[in-house]
Amino acid sequence: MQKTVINDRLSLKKHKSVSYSKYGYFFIAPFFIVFLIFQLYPIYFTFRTSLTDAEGWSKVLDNKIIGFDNFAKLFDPTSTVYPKFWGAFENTLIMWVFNFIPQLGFALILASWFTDTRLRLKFQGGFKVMIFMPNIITAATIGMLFFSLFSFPVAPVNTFLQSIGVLNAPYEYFRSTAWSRGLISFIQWWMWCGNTMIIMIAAMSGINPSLFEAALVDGCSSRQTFWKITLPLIKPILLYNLVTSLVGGLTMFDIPHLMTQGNPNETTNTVARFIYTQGFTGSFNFNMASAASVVLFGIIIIGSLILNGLMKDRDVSARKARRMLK
Amino acid sequence: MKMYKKLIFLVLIVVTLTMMFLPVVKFSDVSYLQKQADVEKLKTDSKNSQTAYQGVLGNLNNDIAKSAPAWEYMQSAEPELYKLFEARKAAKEFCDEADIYANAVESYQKDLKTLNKNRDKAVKNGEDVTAFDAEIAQLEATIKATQDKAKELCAENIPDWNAETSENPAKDLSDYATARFDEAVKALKTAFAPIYQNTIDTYNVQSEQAAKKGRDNYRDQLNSLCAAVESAMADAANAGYAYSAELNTDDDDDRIAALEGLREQAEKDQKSLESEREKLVKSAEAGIRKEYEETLNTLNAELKEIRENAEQAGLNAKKAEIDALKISIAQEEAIVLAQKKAEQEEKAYTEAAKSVKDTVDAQKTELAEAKQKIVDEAIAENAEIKAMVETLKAAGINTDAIIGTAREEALAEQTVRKITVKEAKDKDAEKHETLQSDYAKQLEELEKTAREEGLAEATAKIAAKEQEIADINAQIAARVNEQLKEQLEPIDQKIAVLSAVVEAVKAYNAQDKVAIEYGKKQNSDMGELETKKDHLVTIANYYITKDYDKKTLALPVDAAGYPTGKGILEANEESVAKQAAKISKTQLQIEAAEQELERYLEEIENGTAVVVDTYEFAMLPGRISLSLNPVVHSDEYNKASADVQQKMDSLSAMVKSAADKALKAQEETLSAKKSEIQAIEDEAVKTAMEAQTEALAEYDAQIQAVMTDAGVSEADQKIAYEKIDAFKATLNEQIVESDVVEYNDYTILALDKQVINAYSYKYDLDQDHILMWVTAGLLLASVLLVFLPGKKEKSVFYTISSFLHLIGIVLLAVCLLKVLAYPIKQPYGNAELNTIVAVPLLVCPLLAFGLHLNSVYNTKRSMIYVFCTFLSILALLPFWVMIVNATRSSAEIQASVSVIPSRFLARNWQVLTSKNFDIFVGFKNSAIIAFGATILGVFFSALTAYGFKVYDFKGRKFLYAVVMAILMIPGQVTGTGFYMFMYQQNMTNNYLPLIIPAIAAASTVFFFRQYLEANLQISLVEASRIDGASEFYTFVKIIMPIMLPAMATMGIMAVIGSWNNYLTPLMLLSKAELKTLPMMVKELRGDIYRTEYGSIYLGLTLTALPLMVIYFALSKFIIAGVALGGVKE
Repeated sequence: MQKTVINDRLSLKKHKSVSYSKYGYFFIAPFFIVFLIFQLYPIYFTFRTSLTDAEGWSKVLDNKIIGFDNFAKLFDPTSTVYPKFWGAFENTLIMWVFNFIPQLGFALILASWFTDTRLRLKFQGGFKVMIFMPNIITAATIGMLFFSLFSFPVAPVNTFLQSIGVLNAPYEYFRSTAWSRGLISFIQWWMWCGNTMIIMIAAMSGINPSLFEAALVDGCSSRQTFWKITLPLIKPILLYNLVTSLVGGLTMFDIPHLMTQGNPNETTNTVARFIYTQGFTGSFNFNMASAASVVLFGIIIIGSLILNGLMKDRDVSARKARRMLK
Repeated sequence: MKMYKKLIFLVLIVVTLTMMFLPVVKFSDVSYLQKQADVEKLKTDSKNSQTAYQGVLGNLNNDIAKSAPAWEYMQSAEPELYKLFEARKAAKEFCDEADIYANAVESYQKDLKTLNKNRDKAVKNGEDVTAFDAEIAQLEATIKATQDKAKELCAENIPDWNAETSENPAKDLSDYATARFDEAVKALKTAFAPIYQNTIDTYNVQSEQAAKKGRDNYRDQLNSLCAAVESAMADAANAGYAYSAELNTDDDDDRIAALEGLREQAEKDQKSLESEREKLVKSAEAGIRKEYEETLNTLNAELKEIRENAEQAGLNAKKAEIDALKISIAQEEAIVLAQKKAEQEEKAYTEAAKSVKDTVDAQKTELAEAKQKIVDEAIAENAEIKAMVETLKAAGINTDAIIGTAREEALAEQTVRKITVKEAKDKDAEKHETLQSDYAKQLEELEKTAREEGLAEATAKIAAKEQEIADINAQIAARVNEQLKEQLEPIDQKIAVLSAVVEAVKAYNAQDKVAIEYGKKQNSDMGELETKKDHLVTIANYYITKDYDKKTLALPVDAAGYPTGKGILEANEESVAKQAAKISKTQLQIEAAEQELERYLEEIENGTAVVVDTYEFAMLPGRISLSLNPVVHSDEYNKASADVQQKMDSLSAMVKSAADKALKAQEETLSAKKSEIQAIEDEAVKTAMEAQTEALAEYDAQIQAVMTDAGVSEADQKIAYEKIDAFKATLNEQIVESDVVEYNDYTILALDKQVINAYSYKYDLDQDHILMWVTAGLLLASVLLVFLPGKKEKSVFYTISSFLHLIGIVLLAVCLLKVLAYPIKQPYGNAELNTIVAVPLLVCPLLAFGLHLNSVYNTKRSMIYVFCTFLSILALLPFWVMIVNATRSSAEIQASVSVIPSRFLARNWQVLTSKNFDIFVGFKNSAIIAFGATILGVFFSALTAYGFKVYDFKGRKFLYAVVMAILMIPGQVTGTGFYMFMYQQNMTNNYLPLIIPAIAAASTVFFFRQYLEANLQISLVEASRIDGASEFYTFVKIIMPIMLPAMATMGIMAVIGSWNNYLTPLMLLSKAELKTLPMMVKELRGDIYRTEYGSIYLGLTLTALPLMVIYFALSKFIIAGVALGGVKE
């Protein structure tokens, strides 16, 4: 009797589970429909447009495929867009590197401090809130704010430096390539340091505390703990962060667009700004913008794969270490 | 910290402290006298400028007073003037119309003529003329129609117009219209005349002055010229006086006429003089010639005589000569005879010689024959001899000697013969030669003597005569010349003087003419401009007062309600008065200070009194004891008394000196203060005056610009009105600006600051000393804290110590910077940094801090707090500066950086909203997009995550992998395609493409799935199923409440993300009313807010404020969301 009930129930469960699984499609359908229409199709459209002669408004929709001419232009050193695109790429990379390295360094140091159980820092929450704050504010506003703070000839920074006697005359920061790039890198660092720090804190607090205790017992110094235990264990998150930061850095747009507008002399022009200026200003070269987008897409994928590969090689040993620790 | 480290640390800090109190900076002292002199100079300057300003003000007032009648007239006659303008416009229109007719008729008639010509040609050529005829007929009809129309118009408009007498109505119409237009213009001109009157009057006065000046100048020169002429010649002098008398007329034209007359007169005179001269020359020439001729004749006669005489003399001489010649001829004859004789002799000799020759020839022939004979003989003999020789040879006999002797004999014979012939010849030749030479000699001598004698005599005579003639000639010529000269000299002089006069008059005339023309033109231009200006000012004022509230304009107005130039001046004067009030306020303060001083003095006096009282009191026991026991205590008392007396004296002296000192110091301060106030006052007056003058100049320039650009013709009136609008706007802006100045009195403040800086640097130094002491204290405390503690409190002390150390370093840097900034703030003082001292001063504390850091690293906490505080300040400071600046005025922002809010928020808000920056629209748009996208995104993501979690459908893993892949696609990469797709679907400028794609938010799905993985038990779903709930109902009613915390977190993140999105809306939205807040930020960069710094910061603050509020309220959720979203493994 009992057995039959159980059997019935079992059969029922089996039956039910089969019959309910189809609802899954209904639940995920809106997501995929929207994805297909608003993301996949635009990607296709971008690829397609990059092969057409869609230059100017008249050819937005009425264009024909001309092959890889646009890509050829992007890779042809004699064409006019070549120096612009690759110059923008170079600027983007420079600004990204000068932002990302300090950003990651600061984030790691702060995160290791905040998660250090021996330190037990007070007012942690307050520091986190304050340091994270710039990340929340609209990038456009921040770009404009820094433009206002550093503008010429009358702006707080110049006024302050003059009032304490450091400068005799106001300095035009946005006429200097180094200052402009430096400022953009600084703003990026300033905005994203908190974010990376929070992620690193989360990653580090995810590590089993017994590992640290064991290290402490074994007489590890803080430095050793950080380099030998913390860092290997948060490597996947580091990788994730690296990739997202690379993507974010390569698609940097708001701050250069609002603060320097690519000046001085196009030395702070970014790839995203290049795409925007090609496609949405001037002669509306949608084909060139699309081609650049595709190239950027390719670069991002290749970059991500390279980073992934680099990290994975070491990951193996890290995993081994972890296994051994376990 | 280890001991040696501690010691190094101590040494470094001690070095720093020592260096700090060494003279790091050398100050060259301020020269007070220099400063005083500068102040005095400033005072006099300001006084001068004040008087100058008063003068200018007076002039301006005068001008205003002068223009008052014109103004009144303008006001009273304004409607009339407009009417006149209208009339002129109507007349012009009518005129144009009439001209159209007249021109049409004219051109038609021309066409007709050409047509007729062509037709005639065609007729001549025998071509068909019907086409021409038709055309001509048509044209004639057109002309007629036009004329008819013109006729109609004539009949309508021209009174007393007779249609029948008129031949060309169009022309009549045109003429009439032109006449009417002229009349209208004339009427307008007459109406405007009173307005011009003032200018014309001024011009008249000016031109009169100029003319008078020129006249005086000219008269002087003329007088001198006249004097010259007088001295040269009485006539010219008279003429000059006459002319100068003539030139005393008052009118320019008269003067020009007079000058012309003078010139003409002078020219005439010159001409007459020249003709006179010519006449004189001619007559003189005639007379002189006659005289000369006479003289010449006489001279010639004389000459003739002389010549005759000479000839006579010459004849005599010739005769003598001839005689001599005759003699010589006789002699010659004799010679000839002698010659003949000699010839005969020669003949005889020749004959003789011939005979001799014959004989010689005969002898020659004889000789030749003989020779021949001899030769023959010789040949024969030779032959014989040869033969003989031969024979002899043959016989052997020498023949040579025989031959030689024979030859010698022959040769001797030949020589003898030759000598004889020669001798004969020589004899003859000799004879002949002597004869000949003798005769020649004789002849020569004769000739010579005769010729020499006669010729010499004649020549001498002739030469003498000729000399005489030449002398006479020369005399005559000299006399003639002398006479001519005498007669011509005065005439030439006269002519020269007159021509000089003429030239001068010409030059002056030309100069005067040019100058007068220029002046006239300029004056007329000026007048025109002035009139235009007045007119425009009237119009501008009229419109300003009409459209604007008088209160906001804040300009004083006259009785009619029009703002006046005087009013503006008064307004400026008011600001000066305000500043004066301020100064008087300061003076009141000084008075208060003086009162205080008095009180102080009183206090000192009181103090003295107290001392005296005390003394009295102290004396009391002595006195009592004295009175009790006079003998015993007398000495003691006296001693004590003297002692106390002495003490009191010294005390009072001290008090007195202290009081004197204090008084003196106070007086000095007071005088310094007074001079300061004086300086402030003068400076303020000066600045006010400058500002006023500038404002006036600007005002004038603006009016000038408006006026020149606009003109007054009715066609340009529209432009003028526009200009006036712009002018109103700028006036409004100026008023706003002046409001600002009124509020913060920025200029006065800056001035105060400047004066304070200039006079109080000593106190600044004291402050720096305080700052330095504080720094030193901090550094010392940090050292002490390092050394003091026992082991337990180490960490806490280190923390505090490192904090103090850091603050000390910062303060040290501030001290140094402040000291170094002196030369910038101080115009007189000069500071030099001693590098030898400064380098260790900078390096040592840093090194010490390095040590500190090194030691603190072990305990970490303190440094971490410092570092985190620094980072937090860095994160907040820009926002704080932004918020503070949003409450400050542009002037304040320009002047300094502050972290203390000011009170211009309302004004900044006013400026921000007044310039087409509608922040609420941005708020609304951003909110619609952000909340729409968030609601959709969170709900559908939850749905998707639930689907992936609960249902085990086919391809689940693959689809989930797709979701993960989507995570990595950056939006910027697909932007172009997305935009083009939306453009294709005609969905740009629509919020849907910004909201709907949020449904496919991969990161949210991922996050929710992670959350469900941890928090959802599948049994819950099963239970609800058992209870009969549908799947969707289960999700909504059971799962969603479970997911609420996660949905809140993700919702906040989504709102922020969507709110901050800039690129996608920038691509898709182009209509102004659809723009989101981040897009509006860019507008702040434009020209409209160029100098409105406060408003820019306010705009930025407003865009950031909602996020800040959300963030600080929900920071826990946000940070948690970031942390969870980031950890993806």
